[in-house]
Amino acid sequence: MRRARDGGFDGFVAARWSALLHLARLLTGGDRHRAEDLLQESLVKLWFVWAKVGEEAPEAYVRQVMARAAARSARRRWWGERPVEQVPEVALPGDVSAAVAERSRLETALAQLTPKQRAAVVLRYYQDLPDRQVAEVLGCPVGTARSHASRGVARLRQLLSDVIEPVG
Amino acid sequence: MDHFEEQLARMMRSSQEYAPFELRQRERLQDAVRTRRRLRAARNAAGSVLAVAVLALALMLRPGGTQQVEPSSPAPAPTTSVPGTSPTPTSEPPSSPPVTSDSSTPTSPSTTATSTSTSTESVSVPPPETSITP
Repeated sequence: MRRARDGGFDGFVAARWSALLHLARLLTGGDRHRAEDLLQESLVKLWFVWAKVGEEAPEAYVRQVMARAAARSARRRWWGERPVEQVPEVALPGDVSAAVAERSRLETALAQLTPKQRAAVVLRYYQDLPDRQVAEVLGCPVGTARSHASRGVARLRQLLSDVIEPVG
Repeated sequence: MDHFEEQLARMMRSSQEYAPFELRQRERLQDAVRTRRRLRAARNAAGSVLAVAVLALALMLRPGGTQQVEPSSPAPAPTTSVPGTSPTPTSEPPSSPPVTSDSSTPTSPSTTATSTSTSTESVSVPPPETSITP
């Protein structure tokens, strides 16, 4: 029984690791190490309930555990900017580094939000969940989840105004 | 969903890069599961020991628990003893009223004599002056 569980669990983790790690990275504001810790902790919890949720919705379970843990976190991303020896070059249009720069800007902007706002924004716009499901995942009322998401987006509008040009 | 929100969703999705599940991460996950299992087992064992200790302590501290455990004193001997051991005369008192000495129950006179000699209980016992007098 344990072998069957391990087989299914290992298969799920191997198949969904990349996507889950990206979700964790967004939830942590781009910190790779903390994202991996968050994902590892969530997968350990999943291992113990695999018999219950393994055949139903393991990814939804991991998403909920990660989102709640990230939203509870009181830590702000002070390590968002690390000192480097050389200033990175400015991305040129069509350059390969443009995607990297865009991701870096996004992660830096997400790191400026509060953990709850960040979790609500990521669930709403990356996971494409409706407000009701965002509230369920975060374990809060729908109005609260909607408020977190709208405030987070408003803050991101300010921070990413030069990256995302307004229409017109 | 306005233009900014659409672009935000696109940025979040396009920023995903493929990250394989490496052997290092697999071993770390297995170690974490093993550690958590040990922790749970230790917690369960500690909980069981604590529960047994609390139960034992509660039994010890129960008011009058130790005295109540002992068996009660032996039951009193039956009041009807052997007629030969009774110090009272076995002969029927002559002054006993004839109505009490029923002919159908021949043992009734001896039992009444025994009961008057061994205990103070008055179970249809005639007055002492009438029963003792020869």
